[in-house]
Amino acid sequence: MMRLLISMFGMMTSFLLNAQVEVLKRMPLRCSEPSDIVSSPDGKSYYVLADKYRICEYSASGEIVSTKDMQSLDVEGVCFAGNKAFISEETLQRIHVMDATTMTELYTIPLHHGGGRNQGVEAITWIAADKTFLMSTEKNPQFFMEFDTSMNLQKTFQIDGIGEVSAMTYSEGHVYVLSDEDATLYCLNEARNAIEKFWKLPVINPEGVCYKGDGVWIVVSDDAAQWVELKLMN
Amino acid sequence: MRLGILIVLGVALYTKVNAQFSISSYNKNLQISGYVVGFYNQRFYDAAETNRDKNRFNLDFAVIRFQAANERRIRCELQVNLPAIYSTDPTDEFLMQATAEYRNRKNNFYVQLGYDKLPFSWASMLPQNESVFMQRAEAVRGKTFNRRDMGVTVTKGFWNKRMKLIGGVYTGEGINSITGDNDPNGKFLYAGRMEFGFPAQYRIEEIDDNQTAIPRCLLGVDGAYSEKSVTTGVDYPILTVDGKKKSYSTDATVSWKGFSAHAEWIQFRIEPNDTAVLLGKPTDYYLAQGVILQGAYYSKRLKSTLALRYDEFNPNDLVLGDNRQTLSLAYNYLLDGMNNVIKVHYFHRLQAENALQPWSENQLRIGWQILF
Repeated sequence: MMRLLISMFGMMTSFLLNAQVEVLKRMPLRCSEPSDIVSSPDGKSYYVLADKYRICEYSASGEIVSTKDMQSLDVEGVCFAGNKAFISEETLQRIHVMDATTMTELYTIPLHHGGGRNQGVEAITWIAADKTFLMSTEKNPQFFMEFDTSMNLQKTFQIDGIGEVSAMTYSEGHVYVLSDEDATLYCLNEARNAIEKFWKLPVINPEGVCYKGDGVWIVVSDDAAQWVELKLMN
Repeated sequence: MRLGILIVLGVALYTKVNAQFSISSYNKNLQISGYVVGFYNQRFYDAAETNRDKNRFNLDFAVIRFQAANERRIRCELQVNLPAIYSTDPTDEFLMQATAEYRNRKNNFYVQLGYDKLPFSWASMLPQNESVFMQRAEAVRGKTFNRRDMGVTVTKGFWNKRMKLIGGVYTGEGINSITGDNDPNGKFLYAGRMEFGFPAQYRIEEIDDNQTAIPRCLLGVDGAYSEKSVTTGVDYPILTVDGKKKSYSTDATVSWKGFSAHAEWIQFRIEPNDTAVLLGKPTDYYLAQGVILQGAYYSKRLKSTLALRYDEFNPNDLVLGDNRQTLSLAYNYLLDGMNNVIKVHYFHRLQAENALQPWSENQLRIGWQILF
């Protein structure tokens, strides 16, 4: 009943308030505090980081397929690169490297940047075209970091108009940056140094984003623990 | 004075600060942060007033905060406010928090031991450095109940923390609980809060700086009970009571697209052992009660928050019309969010009829808050 009420409330308000985005579906995630979502390398399933220590695998229709627990305090961002998954842990400022098939941990890489414990590496994505990991702190200060395949820091930079980041994903030549405080999805230009376009999302506290295909995007809401499918209007 | 304020504003405008630093060592982390808030206070005295000592510069907060966490989800926090060492005002507390806490893996069950705020009253639990206003409402400033105490607090969240139950048992002696003894009767203070956020969990926040696209609300109900044998309190003799003190509060908060509003009602039912304080009335208790009504609008484009608050407090319902009422107008210019903010707070006193003593004069407070 509660979920139905929340879903109806969200659909109604998003219809009334936002014309930039068409919400196709909202459904409960059945896991709490989702912090990111990524599609599996084969594109058949989706992994959601949840509860600060759990990886939940979902089917394309949004049903939980499997769960796996990690030894972590607060995992915040996930991406796949080759046969490995890379998961950023915010407070302890490290990257968990997982086997992409079994999602078991292989090792961790420390990634100290000195920022606040709740403002660590919040987002990570793999840019296959450049063989580069792009990471971002959440805020205070928000900045992007590029790493090579050996996790050597190549450069740090900021982008005008982005002050807080909750997730990132790479799709069809563009990096998409999600801000939960601004409830906005930004599309960066190909040079990754400016915002090309952006969309205000009718989602409370959006913490993860990935592209599903056929113009459909999946956004996960942290506070509402929701899976939201939507289309972005150009 | 004007020149001084202009200099402070000028420096602030060219200063961009970034908050919080941390050190990590594999599976543990220590974060160091803090904030400084200084202000100038101008009180608009009556012409006949000879003592104008409230026209002053003041260091409100110089807080250092250490927060440690490890992979086993054990957290420790220590927070001190340095200027309070020199203060004679009992509402200025040097030790703001000293706690150890365990959280479960799902992050929806916490057990905390130590010295911290009581789970009572939304307006008391709101961190001062996150408020648009520079002073709390009279009913929750620390003159009517000990806002902090030593004890155990248990928190449990339900439905992704949309509903939270917070409860605890405390010595009931406020700052004296840290090293001092309990009241001679050895009884404790019990406090609890139940809150419900819709459509998602709602943290205790005064402004809608996320400019949330979907309307949100929070409803809360609080209660506290103590039975002591010593009465204390500087302005109001209800901080601890020789007798029973039953405290109730209920609150509602809404936010949407930068607008936020909050309403809160607080009541203290005092059942004193000494019936002389009942002023000869045919009753065995009296009530002290307060109301807070406020609204705010946050504009990201203008880097500004404007807020209006009405608050009243009646320290004793047996005294007709003994109401302290204040209308507050506050403006914040956010140079870098709440990390670097200029705050202006104007207090307009609405004097009630038949009050026991004159209410304070109107005053203007202009401050600068820096977080690191």
